[in-house]
Amino acid sequence: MMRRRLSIILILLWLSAFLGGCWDRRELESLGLVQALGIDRGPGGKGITVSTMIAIPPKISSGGGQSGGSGGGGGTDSGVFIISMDAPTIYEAFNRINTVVNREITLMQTSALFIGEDLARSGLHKWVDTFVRYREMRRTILVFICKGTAAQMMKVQPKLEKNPSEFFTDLSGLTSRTGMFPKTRLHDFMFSYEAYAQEEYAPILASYQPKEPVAPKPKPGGGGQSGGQGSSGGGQSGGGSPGSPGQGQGPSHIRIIGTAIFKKDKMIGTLDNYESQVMLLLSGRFHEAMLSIADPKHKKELIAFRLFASGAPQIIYERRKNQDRLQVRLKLEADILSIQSGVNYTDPSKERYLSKYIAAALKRRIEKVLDKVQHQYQSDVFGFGNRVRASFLTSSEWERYNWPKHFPQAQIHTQVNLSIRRVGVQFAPPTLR
Amino acid sequence: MKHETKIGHREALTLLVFIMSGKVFLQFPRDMASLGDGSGWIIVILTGILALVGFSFLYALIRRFPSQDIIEICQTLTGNFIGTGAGVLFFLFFLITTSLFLRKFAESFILAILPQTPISVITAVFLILLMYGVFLGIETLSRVAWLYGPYLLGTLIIILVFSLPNGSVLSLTPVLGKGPGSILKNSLTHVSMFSEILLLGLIAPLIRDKKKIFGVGFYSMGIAIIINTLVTMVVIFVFNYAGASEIIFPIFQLTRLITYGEFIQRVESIFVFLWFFAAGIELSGLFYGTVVGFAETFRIRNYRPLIIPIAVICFTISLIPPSMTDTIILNDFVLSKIYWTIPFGIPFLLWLVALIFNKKEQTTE
Repeated sequence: MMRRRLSIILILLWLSAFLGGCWDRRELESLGLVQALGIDRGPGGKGITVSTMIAIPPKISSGGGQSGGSGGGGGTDSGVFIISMDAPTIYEAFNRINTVVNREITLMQTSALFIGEDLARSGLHKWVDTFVRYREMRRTILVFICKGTAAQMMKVQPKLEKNPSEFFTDLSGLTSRTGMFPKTRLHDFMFSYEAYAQEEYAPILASYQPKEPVAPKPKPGGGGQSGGQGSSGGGQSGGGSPGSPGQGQGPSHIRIIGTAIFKKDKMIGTLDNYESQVMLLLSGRFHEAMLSIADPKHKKELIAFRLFASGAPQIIYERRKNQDRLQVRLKLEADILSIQSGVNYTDPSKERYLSKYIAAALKRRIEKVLDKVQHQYQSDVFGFGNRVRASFLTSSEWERYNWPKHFPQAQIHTQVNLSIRRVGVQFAPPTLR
Repeated sequence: MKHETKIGHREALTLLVFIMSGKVFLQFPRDMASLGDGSGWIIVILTGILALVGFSFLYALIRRFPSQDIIEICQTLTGNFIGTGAGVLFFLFFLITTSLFLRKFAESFILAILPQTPISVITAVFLILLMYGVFLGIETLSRVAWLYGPYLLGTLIIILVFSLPNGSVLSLTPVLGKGPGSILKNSLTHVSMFSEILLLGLIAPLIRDKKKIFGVGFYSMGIAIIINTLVTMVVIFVFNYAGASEIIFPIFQLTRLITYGEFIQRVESIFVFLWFFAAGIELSGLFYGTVVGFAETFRIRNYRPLIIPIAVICFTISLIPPSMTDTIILNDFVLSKIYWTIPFGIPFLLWLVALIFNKKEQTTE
């Protein structure tokens, strides 16, 4: 009995030596937690410039968050500091950064990956493996493409949050409220990258300088949007023109200006915020958005509504004589938010009329974006290829079919079915007497 | 050997499910995706059906000799010389499966949570657990399996269900993957995915209720087929076959993807428990097979003194493959081509011998 007890005690003592994890012990104080990782083309197109946004733990938890920008290796008032290094590969840059920073760089807490537009346009093929192979890289990291360079973009400090990673997570999560940009996790990016049935897309960031003093915009809903004319003609969407950082004092905000469209591993173009909504609608990732449209009876007035997707789009596919035909059926719902003209559209018959009118306008908008993506970019970001693949029985047939080559020639018809479900807390609009 | 310890049929069933399904936490789903593209899960089902056929021979044999284990049956039927040879084969089968699984498991641990710990330490510490488990005996092992089984299965189901929003049904297409011929061929060559059922041959005489032995084998295989199929399916469902066939530990990556708001994320820490327990139970079962296989072959009454020497051999073998990829290829694609001969081939031959010479256990009614 005694011997048994003694041996148990000995075993426990011996085992306890391993409990601390002798080799993998990492003290929190010795880790440089990278909140966001940015990569740009290296100088002269060689190698890569890696920027890390490293958390300053005491500042993330209290104080700070005032100054607009700067960084670049120095401390700021915000909870993070940014340091950039040129290196042949991403992880080598970490070693170089660790010749400056006294804490071991780790990606365990990284929530965003910024890719400079230049690098994205020159092709990501070389770097994609790096993203997914390293064990600390999580596939839930959010991918953003940056107009200009990632290093520059990361210097813009978010206003509402001390913790920039929270800022980016929250901001990209708003896609479910606005639909104005996609939310692309590394997983989504990789899924499309390898699917052969879908091309990648990611939200594109630009710096944004609000007009001083901030005045109310002349038209709600934005100029290019009203009247169901779509937005592609109007160029950038309404409200301060993004992509052009204000002169003089430098950018002070980050804005997601739409979607970067890829073909294979190269970024080939962009969609603006309103085109992004359509893209999300067609790819089944749209939740809701507030839109406005010209009143059918009074063309100068607007009707605002909240658009919901009641389900993923139904895609019917057939192939006849090597001609791909896709029919995309969208089932949407809308809640009326405002009727400027005072016409009582809450009357059931007018409601149906209005819903048909909105559906037709949306259809026009969708067709414009479809045309742009299909013929100009020739890149199936919608993921229609996934449906096409289902029509094949074996993967060799499917790979031989070469969907990316067929996509630009495919006939795509859309059918929009919209019903107005609710009208807010008011029946008829207030009458002016 | 007198079979003094007795185990219940439920306990035996869960233990068998564990040792046939523990591999889903490692490369298994990835192997299936690379073999069958979108149809990887069909391969698992077909293989399962084939393995059930193989199991029926094992069962037929066990039924003829209800109080003997497979090695004793072997020696009764074919005499000492061949019987011992077959016993050595059984022992080697368990030894190599245990060692390579141990290696794969240790490698996965290094990749996932302990990147700086030397592999020998992980393997050695894990072997201590196995030695302790086997020292306590099959009764304890199977009871532990039965105790943890439902919770671990529940956790696995939660992980799979929570992963569903990340996937799309269309990812399972093209339905026939690399084509019906390839599906059939790969199902035939990978029958060994359920070869661990051989352990039933060793523990069958210990099961209290002899009438339930068929049920234990049949249902444990059925459950293992369902688990393995579902996991493969969800992995392909989420990663697409192209992605799934490139990921080393798909379930781990699957778990890392789970995020619901800011509260539920980084759930892989829970998954590590599931994975560790499952691997612990599976490996203990296999290690028990190794030790008892040796003891039975050489008619050693008490297997316990063999535990340490065999653990040392396991440790050594587990470190032979130079790299992780070597281990995976060796186990999943080279040895798996011959593994099946041992749990399905040898019992089939023995059953033929028993049938031809009409041999049966004397005591059967």
